[in-house]
Amino acid sequence: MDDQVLYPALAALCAAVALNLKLTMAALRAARSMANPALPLAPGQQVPAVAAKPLAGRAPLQLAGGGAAWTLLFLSTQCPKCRDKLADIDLLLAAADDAGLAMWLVSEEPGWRLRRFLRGRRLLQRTALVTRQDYKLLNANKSTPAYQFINHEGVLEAAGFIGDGDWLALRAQLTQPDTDSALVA
Amino acid sequence: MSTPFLADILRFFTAFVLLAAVWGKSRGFAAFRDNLTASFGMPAALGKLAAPSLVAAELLLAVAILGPYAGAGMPAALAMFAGFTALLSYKFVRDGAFRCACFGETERNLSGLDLLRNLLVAAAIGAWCALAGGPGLPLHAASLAAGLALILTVLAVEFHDIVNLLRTH
Repeated sequence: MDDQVLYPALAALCAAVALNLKLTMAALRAARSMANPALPLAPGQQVPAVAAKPLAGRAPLQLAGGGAAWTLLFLSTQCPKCRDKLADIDLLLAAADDAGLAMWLVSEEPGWRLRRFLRGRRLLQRTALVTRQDYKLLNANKSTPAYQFINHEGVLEAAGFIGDGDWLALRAQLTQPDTDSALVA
Repeated sequence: MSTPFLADILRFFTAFVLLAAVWGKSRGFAAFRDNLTASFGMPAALGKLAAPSLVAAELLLAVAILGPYAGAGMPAALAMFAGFTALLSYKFVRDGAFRCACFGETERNLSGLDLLRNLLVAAAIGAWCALAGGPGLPLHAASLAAGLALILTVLAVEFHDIVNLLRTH
């Protein structure tokens, strides 16, 4: 076998060794993260202070802080169910503002994709971008379409999927403030 | 091993390490940009400008080194690595734990091993400067040099984890 064949063959072997090393390290990291899985926040737990950047506007935002009650929403641009919830959430936003409840969509996705997803929606003005690490702190399981009610002290009151019992109670309270619906947050 | 062959391994190694840095920073770009403010105290507005400039500079150097401008690119890469290592070492000694995200590793702090890795990369570039100038290699030999450099690159980028694995197992 002459050099013209031998050298490229050895080069391919070297590339395979490098790939093997890289994949071994990736497997190691995957094993580590499986050994210490991120746990979702449980009701009664203090929600970590997370800095966010509004999609519309410049002033940085401190999520779940500032002495206000918060409803954090988690929607993915990739899930069709999330798109179906947008019209309903838009209706609630005005009522939430009046009630002094800070309702924000929290996302780690790129801004352009969110803008396309939320085109023409009021929710665009209430969207906060966080880093991947911070998103994992808030929504470890990446549940969507999900929500979290956080009280004035920054404690998680309830969490679940948009459309469940607690969510409907909040919705009823916001849209019909005179009823005695039990507002969790 | 002939000197031009060794020099070419070092040249490819330097370019691949720069490309790995570009890849790592781009994958976690927001984390890298925010870390310039969080760990290095850079104003957010400056961080927004500095983060893409750094990535662009690394990419430009890698392309120059792989292309016909290795003679200019390698000393520039040496200056860059020496500068980064000096800055990181100063901060490491002064502040202790902080994150670098130099190759996209946003979940752990910078370690002494990372600094040692940077010094070894700088030494490799220095060695190239001393060895270079020989005749160019034929394509088939250059491909083997690139393959060997690829292994060295993975070893360099994962240096911290590999040394810790060897230590503990």
